[in-house]
Amino acid sequence: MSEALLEARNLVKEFPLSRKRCVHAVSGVTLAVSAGETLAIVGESGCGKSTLGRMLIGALPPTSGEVRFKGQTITGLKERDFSPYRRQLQLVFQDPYASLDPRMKVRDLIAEPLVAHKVCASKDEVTQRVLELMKAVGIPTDYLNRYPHQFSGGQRQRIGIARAIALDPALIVCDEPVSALDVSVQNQILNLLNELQEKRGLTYVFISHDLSVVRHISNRICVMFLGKVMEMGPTEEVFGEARHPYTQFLLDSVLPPDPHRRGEATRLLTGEPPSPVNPPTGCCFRTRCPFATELCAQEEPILQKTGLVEAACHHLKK
Amino acid sequence: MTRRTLEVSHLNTSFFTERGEVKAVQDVSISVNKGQVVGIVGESGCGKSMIARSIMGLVKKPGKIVSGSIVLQGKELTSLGEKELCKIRGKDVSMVFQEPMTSLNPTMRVGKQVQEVVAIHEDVSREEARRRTLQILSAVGIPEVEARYNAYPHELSGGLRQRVIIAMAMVMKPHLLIADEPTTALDATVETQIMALLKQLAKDGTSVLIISHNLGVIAQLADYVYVMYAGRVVEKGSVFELFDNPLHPYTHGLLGAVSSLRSQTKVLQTIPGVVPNLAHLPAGCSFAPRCSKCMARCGSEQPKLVAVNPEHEVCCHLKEGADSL
Repeated sequence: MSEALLEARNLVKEFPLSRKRCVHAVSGVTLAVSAGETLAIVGESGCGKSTLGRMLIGALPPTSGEVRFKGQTITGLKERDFSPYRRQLQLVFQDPYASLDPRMKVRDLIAEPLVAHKVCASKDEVTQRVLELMKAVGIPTDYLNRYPHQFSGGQRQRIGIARAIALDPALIVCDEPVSALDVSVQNQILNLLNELQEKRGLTYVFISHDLSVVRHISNRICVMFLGKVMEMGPTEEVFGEARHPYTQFLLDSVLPPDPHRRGEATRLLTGEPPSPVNPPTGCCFRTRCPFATELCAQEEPILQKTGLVEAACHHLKK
Repeated sequence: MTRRTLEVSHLNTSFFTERGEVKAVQDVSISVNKGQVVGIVGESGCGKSMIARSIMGLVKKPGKIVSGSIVLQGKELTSLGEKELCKIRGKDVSMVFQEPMTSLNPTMRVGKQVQEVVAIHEDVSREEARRRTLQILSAVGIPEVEARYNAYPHELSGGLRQRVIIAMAMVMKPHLLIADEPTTALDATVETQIMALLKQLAKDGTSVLIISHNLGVIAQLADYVYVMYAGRVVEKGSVFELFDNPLHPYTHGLLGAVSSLRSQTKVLQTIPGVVPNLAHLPAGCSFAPRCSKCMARCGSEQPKLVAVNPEHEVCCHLKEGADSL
């Protein structure tokens, strides 16, 4: 754990609704990302995975807790002191239609981070770098002067990735980078992310709700529910044998693209996700959990390590 | 027993824009039998939602049904006027849209919205309409219906809202339910719940036309599947035929893309290139520019749907050739 590139300790984010009420988006998340790995954060909408991702790269200040990058605290830094870290920590957004300024040409879009951080000595050097980046992400270089609306969703996402890698970051948070794309294009982007990771030694935090994508791309997986970590461990271990009942339900709800395997996902999770404004006492999953007991309502389970996997449940299979 | 609920034949729906005619649906024929679940699968922009809108008579200007016929329960729909369509919509055929967040009226209690459907189509007392509303709301699996009846849409979760919409669609017991990406906006665990509900509806005798880009949804639900690409049906067959023995290179690519995601391969299988612009379709087969098995003929001549066996048809020159040999 000493080689962690990025560490989060007890991160909490609350968004106030009124003087007394607030949304508990992220409630005490501790995790570490090692250099070169891909950590996937999975969970359903509203579980706080995007909020967590933004806090990890310092784009959103946490209510409490801290983030450390290469051992240095980056939480609560002044803008001037944070600037060098921003170059190291980048983000790829979900919606390639909304995240690019429609009035900017591709060359300006990709040059924007280079110019903002003043990394190039001359305009020619900027253009040179832009062309290199376009090649790296697979956009034909003669499209230099086109506008975002002239590109398909997949190509736009490539532009978004080019912007993220422009400053040679150490870590990129990919927030649902393929969920807006069609299946055939989705794999092109996943292949590109893999290739860039190998060539540039990138570290990814990959936020997704799609477990098949996560299984393919990640080394480790962190399952969240209502702002808390339910289970965390090597991807193959978790997929092989989920410890936490919620993880098991998530895995069961993946629909196999095979009509012969119909009705395998027979175990249905009942009920609706609880509200992050009024989280249940004790274990936050207990209102939907078929194994919940009195203990679950009274006491919040803490993450316990069995083998390589950590899980937070009172009724872990021993 | 195999009564036709819906018969769409040679449907052409186009949009007449400033830049010319955009052929959203080209020569599509689809049939749905009673109690059958038929799936339409394809990527964004392939025209699958336009088929649904054409059936519902919801194609808005500058779009228009150019030719073809749509027969529901023996009645031709394309020649009907707006007034007659209103009588059919919600009663004989109804539709569930993708967005559970935006397809309900935010200023109206959800119970009232369901009840409204009954009031429009049938002359019943308010008590009777309310009774039927509560009945359908609990039938689609909404807990504490009496309380939910008075809830506003924003007070319900996405899954519950989608159930309300399904209740609205089902309250008049239509012959055909069209579900356009009914689970795409929902979380995985809620998705499986809604899928189970749709399955139950089909079991009870409703014909379902389900439109999705998700091969998992189609594989789990549909009996018969149409694969669409650039406005055309490129392959159709029973679900087992189609998934076990895909014949069109596009279907192959789609299935390959999904299944390689589940295997241990480092580099995922993709379909190169992008979906063509419907305003400037290539001559010949629309898939030719992305196809690894493209021949000279594909660039000039549009292939036709040919039956490889009674349960499987494909629209590809490769199979035409194999047939004539």
